[in-house]
Amino acid sequence: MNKTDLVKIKVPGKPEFIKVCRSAALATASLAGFDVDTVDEIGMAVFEACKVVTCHGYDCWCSEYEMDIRTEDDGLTIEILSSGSHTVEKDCEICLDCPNEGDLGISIINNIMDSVSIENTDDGGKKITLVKKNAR
Amino acid sequence: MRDKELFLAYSKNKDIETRNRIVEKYLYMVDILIKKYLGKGVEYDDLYQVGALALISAVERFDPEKGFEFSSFATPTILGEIKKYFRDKGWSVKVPRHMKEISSAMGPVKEDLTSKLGRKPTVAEIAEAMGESEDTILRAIESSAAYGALSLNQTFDDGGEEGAAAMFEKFTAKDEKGYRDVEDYEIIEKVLSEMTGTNRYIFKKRFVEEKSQNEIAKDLGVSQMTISRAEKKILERFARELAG
Repeated sequence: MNKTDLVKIKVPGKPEFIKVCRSAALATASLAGFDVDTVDEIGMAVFEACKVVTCHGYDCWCSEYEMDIRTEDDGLTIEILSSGSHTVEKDCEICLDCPNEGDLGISIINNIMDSVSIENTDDGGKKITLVKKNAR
Repeated sequence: MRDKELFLAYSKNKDIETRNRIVEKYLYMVDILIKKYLGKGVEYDDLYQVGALALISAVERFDPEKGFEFSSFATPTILGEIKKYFRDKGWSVKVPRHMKEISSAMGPVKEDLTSKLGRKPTVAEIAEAMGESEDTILRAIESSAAYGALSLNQTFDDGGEEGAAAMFEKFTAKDEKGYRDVEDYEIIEKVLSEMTGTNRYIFKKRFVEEKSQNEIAKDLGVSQMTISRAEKKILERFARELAG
């Protein structure tokens, strides 16, 4: 029987809240039975994906965004979705490491996840979808 | 020189009573010197004892003929013993002892389970094998505790930021018991816990999984230069923290 669970998190666009998404992803991946290294890496991918969706290419961080994690028997799918409203100023510790880092971040997400897709949404926002299958 | 007569008398007779009289006069130093180390999870009594023993040894070794003040002479001795005490405990005292044990044990448990199961273990499996809650293992992953001991075998870019690399190497060098200095460990821990994305990935591949820059670059489909630059930034991050 197909067992699906859905976790939904909505967070302010401020960069300090990215870790909330990361924590939720770590805990959910752990419940989904991924191995410890994969759990750690899913956390890394989510962190980078949040930046991609909420920050890269914009002058400001978006005001709010949402992460949905769907777990299934064979793995999980994470969708991170921002609205088009970008109002939070860029002025933070995370940004110290960020300029020109975008390419490496995307490469890493692609390396960790089984599939990655990024699209623009109708309201001017972005959506990134990450899929990871559980090998067991 | 303060107490010169007392010291001279002691160096002539070396009798315990005189020695103890001198020690008593200077015990105030121990209180002052251990202040910085209080409230970090180590008992006041333990610290005080370590300091007091060091003071006694300083009294025994002090040569009043040299013309120095005893307090200047004794300070490095006492401080040295206190620092050594922390180091010998083998870990940052801010890290709960329990987390320290998790961190040391997790790597070997993971290796062991991997060979038994023929695949990497889940969080639940590690938790069960260690008799811990899944939450605890998750917390270890969330912080940097899950990485355990760091690899020292990496060679750094010759062309890189030499200061940063050397500093990093120096402060991750460990003796048999763990990080060399508890304060350095806290700094490393702090930097690690702030690395959650790209930097954490590169850090893990280089210093935990011991991959070469070239291997990582190939895996990711980027240039080695990109990895080299990222590594340089990581080292600079550490250097910034270590420089205070």
